[in-house]
Amino acid sequence: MSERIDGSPDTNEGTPLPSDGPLCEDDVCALPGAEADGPAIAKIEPDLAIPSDDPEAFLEFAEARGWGDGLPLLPPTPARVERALACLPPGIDPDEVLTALPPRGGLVTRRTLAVNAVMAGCPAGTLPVLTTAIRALTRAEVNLRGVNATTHPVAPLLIVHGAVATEQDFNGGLGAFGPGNRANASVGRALRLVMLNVAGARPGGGDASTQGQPSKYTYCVAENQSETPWAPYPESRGLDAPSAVTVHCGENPHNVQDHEVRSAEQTLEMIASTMTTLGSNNAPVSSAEWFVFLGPEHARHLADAGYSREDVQRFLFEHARLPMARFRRAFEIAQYADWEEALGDDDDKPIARDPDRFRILVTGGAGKHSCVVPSWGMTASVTLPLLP
Amino acid sequence: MAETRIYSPEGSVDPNAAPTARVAIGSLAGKRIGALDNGKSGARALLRAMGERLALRTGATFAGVVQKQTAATPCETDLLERLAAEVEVVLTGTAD
Repeated sequence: MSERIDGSPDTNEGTPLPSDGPLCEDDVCALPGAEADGPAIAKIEPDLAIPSDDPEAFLEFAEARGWGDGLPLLPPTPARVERALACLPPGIDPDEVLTALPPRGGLVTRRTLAVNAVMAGCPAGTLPVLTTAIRALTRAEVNLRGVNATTHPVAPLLIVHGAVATEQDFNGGLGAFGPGNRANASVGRALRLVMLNVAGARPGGGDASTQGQPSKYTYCVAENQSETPWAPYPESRGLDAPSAVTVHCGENPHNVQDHEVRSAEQTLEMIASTMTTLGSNNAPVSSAEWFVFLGPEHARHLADAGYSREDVQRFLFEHARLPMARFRRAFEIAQYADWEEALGDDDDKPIARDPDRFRILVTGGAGKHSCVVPSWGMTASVTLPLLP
Repeated sequence: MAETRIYSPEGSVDPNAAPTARVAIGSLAGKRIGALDNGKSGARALLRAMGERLALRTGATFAGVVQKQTAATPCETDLLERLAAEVEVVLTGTAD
């Protein structure tokens, strides 16, 4: 008896053929070989015709092709696409291939992004935000193939920082995660359209998300820099740029309300308690990040009590904990650091393995609310300077 | 009514993203079947049962199950190369 590739004894080698038909004769077809190198330029043409520029007719046209998110779309005519591209500096080739998006392997050019931006209703001038977000999403640490394909409801959250947030009217203030602001709504939506149309992350196709989540329609906010008591978030990541974009692939926001704000520690305890939930995919993956969006009043309250951003991170690391026994009971499959694995059942284990996994920034307006956005687990956020 | 020209939002596809190693394998008789555990609960048991049953029905040999490092990341290249060297057919699963 020979040994199998997994080391187990082989018990059926040479087994007779009880139903000896060729099961797979035509199941797997030979495919033509791929070219050695992808093209540096991928020019697309407006080679589709619709009867008119009527939005209803276009919606039916798009629906028949599986394009879009189910909501009304603006027809991407050459004139509209050119207007979207007009914000680019001279010398930029709109057909240059920037990257390819998994799982479909769709090629990204600025023109393709502009087409999707037009369909989503993006204001002129916002294309670089979308372009930078897509560049960030293709960094290896994001694990975009997993993000797009998983059964988890994860969606990329696009966070806009600095001058471009002000110049392009992104909302980092009251209701920033909600409706009513065109830049937030449409640029977040354009990112999702790119995932659907270019990356092929369509429900039941490239996207296996069991339930989906509302933020798979649009998920974009700005950092409220004017009401942040600390340095801008990109600076905390070592980035000195007038404008920047962060992508964080996560769940919908989980609200944290603390109306009494009796002490900084109580507010932070409430945030920590929102994080210590075993149902989160971050619970079995301690390398995962938690984005904490402090409302400005909570942030000011913490800063007035002497807390720096790093102090907040450290507090959450030290207090967002559960007994190791609860993690062990909940998960047979988990990814913890060696020192976490060595903890006793009665020891408290942090929900994330070091303080830097807790990312702190300010978004929102008046009121005593903050929120946390757990990630999908096997993904890391990326912050890039704004790129054309 | 004048027609309107538009772009497709799908763009074009990276030719290198298409699978290149898939070939017609014909009958499974005499072939070696392996299985790649995607790391999800129950995957190993299910794949082993499927592989052994498939081998019984077709006259193939079931070569066993190997597991990639985590469910959430692509399979390691060296593991794929090992599978490619040792078996002609790989069973695996997606999602949960």
